[in-house]
Amino acid sequence: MKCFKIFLYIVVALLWLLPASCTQDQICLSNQHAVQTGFYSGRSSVDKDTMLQNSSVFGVHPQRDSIYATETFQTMFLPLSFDQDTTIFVIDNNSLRDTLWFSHSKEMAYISRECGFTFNFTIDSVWFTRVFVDSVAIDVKEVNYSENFENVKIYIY
Amino acid sequence: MLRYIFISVLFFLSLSVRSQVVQEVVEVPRGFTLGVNLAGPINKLFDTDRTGISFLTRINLKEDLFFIGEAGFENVNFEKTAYHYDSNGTFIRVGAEMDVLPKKEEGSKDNLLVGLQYGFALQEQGSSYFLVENGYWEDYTGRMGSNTINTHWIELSGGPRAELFKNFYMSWNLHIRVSVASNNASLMEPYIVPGFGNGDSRLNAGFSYVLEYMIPWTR
Repeated sequence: MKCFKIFLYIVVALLWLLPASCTQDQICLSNQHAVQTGFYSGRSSVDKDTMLQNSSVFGVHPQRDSIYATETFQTMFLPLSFDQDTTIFVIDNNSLRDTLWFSHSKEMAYISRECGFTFNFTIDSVWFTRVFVDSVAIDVKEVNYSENFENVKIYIY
Repeated sequence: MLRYIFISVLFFLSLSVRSQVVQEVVEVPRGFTLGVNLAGPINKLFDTDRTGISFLTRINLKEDLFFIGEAGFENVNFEKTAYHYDSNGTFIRVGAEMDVLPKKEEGSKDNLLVGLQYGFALQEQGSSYFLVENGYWEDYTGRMGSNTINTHWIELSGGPRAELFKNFYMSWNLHIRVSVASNNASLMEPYIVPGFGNGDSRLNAGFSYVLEYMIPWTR
């Protein structure tokens, strides 16, 4: 009887352990410090999204490889720099080039025990050249981990 | 008047005799126990980053009421790609447990314990290295100095306890813990709060698996 009781207690205790051994790790998201931009027609009086044809985008200071290489897109995800307060990108549209300067501040944040740390950004201002870009508007200033908002609207001719 | 006193004395004598008879039939062991909670070593089987153990005592306050006190430590050390982490901490837990087993076999010393406890943990944690990956621009690396954290919580517990051999008990309990206060001023939440569990969460479930030996003070 005692042996049966010991066996029963151990079995029940082991059953409690099963959920603990089966817990799943949290999925950690990547590229969460990228400004999300959308292209809109500068000729329309209301926001009308538009595509940028066969264009390339790359960062400068220091110069980097293309984020987009001869692609057609309406939305861009532009990663912000951890080292500098201003991140600069060049958009090359069939040899017509415009430059965007994103001035930003950052704050370190703790995500979770699985994923560690990240930076959340606030976009302070955006400067731009006006070759084919008409104007730029900041819609959502905060670039935060796990949030998915269009931060900046770029109006093009 | 004499008749009244005589009847009263007889009544109280009969009560006394009855209570003695009851005590002889239901023998409840009284004393205190010294035990070890094996939850820490068992946790290490599933998560090798954690090292801990705790020791406890139960004291009979009444036949069905126990004081429970527990003290232990839990350390966490790991090196992941995202960050390295070190935490050393101790905890205490005090409270009361009630035996709610409704009917026992004659001579049985088994219990079904339901308890309410207060817990307190003191730990020091830090990160000697962390990495924030950018993927396009330069990554960022840094370190986070150590800081000391106090955590207070309340917990409910419940589970059976059985006497396997004379004065030797085994029990397991399920615990529901709610954090009520923490003074963490750091950006980083504790990976594990000793005795409490996941530092990311205010509500945790846990288990304990206890072996204890009773030192009786009454027969």
